[in-house]
Amino acid sequence: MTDRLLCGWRVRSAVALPELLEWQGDDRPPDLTVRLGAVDDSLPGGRTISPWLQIDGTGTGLLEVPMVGRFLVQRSGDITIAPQPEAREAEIRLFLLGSVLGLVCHQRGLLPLHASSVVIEDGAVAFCGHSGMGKSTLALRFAQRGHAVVSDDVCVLDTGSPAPVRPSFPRLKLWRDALEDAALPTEGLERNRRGQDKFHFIEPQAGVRGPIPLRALFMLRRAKHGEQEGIERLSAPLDILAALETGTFRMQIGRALGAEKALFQAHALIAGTVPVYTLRRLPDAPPGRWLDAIAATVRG
Amino acid sequence: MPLSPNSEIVRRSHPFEAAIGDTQVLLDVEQGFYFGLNAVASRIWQRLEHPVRVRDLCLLLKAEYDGEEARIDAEVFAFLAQLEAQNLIDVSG
Amino acid sequence: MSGLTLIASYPKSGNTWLRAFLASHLRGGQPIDLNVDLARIANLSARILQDRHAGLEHADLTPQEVALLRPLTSRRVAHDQPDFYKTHDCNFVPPGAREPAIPADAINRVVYIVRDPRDVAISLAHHFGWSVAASVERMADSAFRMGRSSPCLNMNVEQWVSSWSAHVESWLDAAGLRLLPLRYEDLLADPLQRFTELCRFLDLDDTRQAVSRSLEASSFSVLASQEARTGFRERHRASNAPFFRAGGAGGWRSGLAPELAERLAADQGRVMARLAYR
Repeated sequence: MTDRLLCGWRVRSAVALPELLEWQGDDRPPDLTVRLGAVDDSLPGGRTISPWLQIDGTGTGLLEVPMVGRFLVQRSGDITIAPQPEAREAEIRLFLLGSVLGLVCHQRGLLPLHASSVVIEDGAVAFCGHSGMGKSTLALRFAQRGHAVVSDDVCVLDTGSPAPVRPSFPRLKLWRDALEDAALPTEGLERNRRGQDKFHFIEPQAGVRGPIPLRALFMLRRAKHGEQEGIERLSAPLDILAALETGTFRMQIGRALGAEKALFQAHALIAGTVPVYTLRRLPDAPPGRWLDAIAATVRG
Repeated sequence: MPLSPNSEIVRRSHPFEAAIGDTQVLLDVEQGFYFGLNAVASRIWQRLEHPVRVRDLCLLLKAEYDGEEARIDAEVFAFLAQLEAQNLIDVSG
Repeated sequence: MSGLTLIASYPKSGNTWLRAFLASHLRGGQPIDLNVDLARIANLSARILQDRHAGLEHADLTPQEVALLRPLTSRRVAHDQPDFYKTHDCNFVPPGAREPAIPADAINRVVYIVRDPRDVAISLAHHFGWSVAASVERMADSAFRMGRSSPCLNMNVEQWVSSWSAHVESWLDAAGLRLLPLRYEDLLADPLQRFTELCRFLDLDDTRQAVSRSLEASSFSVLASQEARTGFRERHRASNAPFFRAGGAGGWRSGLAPELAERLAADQGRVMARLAYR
């Protein structure tokens, strides 16, 4: 199987990863190697970081998702997956390219944001927020306008200056209503989980290969009762830091791995160099309305 | 301990620090909060790396900054009280 | 305080009234803003809360995995963020899980509110925009769940509610819980007495003056007129009536078709008799 590209890494995987671009770089050995094999149900010396994740003193992580399988993730980049017999490939990829990717980032001192991102004006513009805030939906709408997709769910940043984004892959996870609103059929799309009304939409126009600068961050918020919709630039440093901390993917893993100081400094660097906005929307507001305003805000 | 001109002050914890624009930000990991310092506050914070008497700190700032002396004293006291409330400094004497 | 303090009930049984009372009472009897202060007693199944404490996104889990995960997450919330929470979870072990969603060791104490199922049926119908017949059917359905995400994401994670009778008995008969059962009808009939008991149970200020003030701030007329003025964010999208609609007891006598009342009596009769709903 051809090696693939993920966040600048060469990935050799026993599990097919169609959402990743093919590796076209040098002939270095793989940075990440994904194998199938037996994985014990507990990690010797492991601490429970969250209900289904243990991490041991060397930084090795063990994630167990009951109906998908176990993922043993070593700092060396060796990843062993013991799938449940009934697990589907899309389900295995979902956790490999989500939770496991987040863990790998923290192991390597990178900053993963819980964000989908697209290319606007030669830079990455990231949409950051909790589940259901419309990250992937906004990315889809920009993709339909011809913008390349940099990441879905996990947007990986280098912590050095000036914090470039390492593109992950052009796949978006979308609920049925978001696809239908965008006039896209769900036929032929893989389901996120068996029986779930959420699908994997792989953006056919190619993704992005090399690192690109982060141009802007939009923290997606739900307009609370009586609040106005709109885009607002955060200016107080402490507000920006708090927003970035909330927006960091699996912050508790970073803490458990002793990366808190590096993460704080990465947050501070972004806060000092990249404009951070809140985008407040009513729960049912159509996403299309905001595209022009976002693009105009980015252009400044 | 109440703050007085004779009190000796020193930083208690060693939070992470970073500059964002003109603001110096401290993160106290144990207590889990951020603390922002403007230019003058951050100058005071630097001085607190080693123990210093409040009176000497005020004299130093009066030498460095223009301003009514009573007002500088009052602002230094108010700022130190904030630091103490956040457990960022030890006060003795 | 350690562990979760739960305001538990089947849906539409008076939970919001208790939350409004507590929201005011915990702030010394001050008036409350429905859309701000009710958050003081958050829904335990709120997606953001569950995602944060579980360390992953429930949107990527199957319903069975959610059922397996919830008790583990409940323990973490109990440890890291002990507080008052609202819940509509049934206290039996959900199908496919090993423990109830909120295991006893995560619980500090429980206030359980129960309401005449004939009034619940009418209220549920208005809340979800269903027919009353659909409510009656749902109330007998041991597979009744809330928070399912389809075709879009629900702001809560999945909760197994089960039937009305199972819900009531799962809590009232639970072993090893400090539980205060309250009938909604008794709260209405003698609010001062009942809310004083509530405050005593929760180690809150139970003086007559304090309880009266918080009762005033959370009275049905205050809440309903506030909803009429500003709306209420917890109202269901499909609802065909205000959230604070009737607020009384016994509305079923005129609002519930006799055959539906009979059907409820047939489905829920044993537990109704136990709670003196005749």
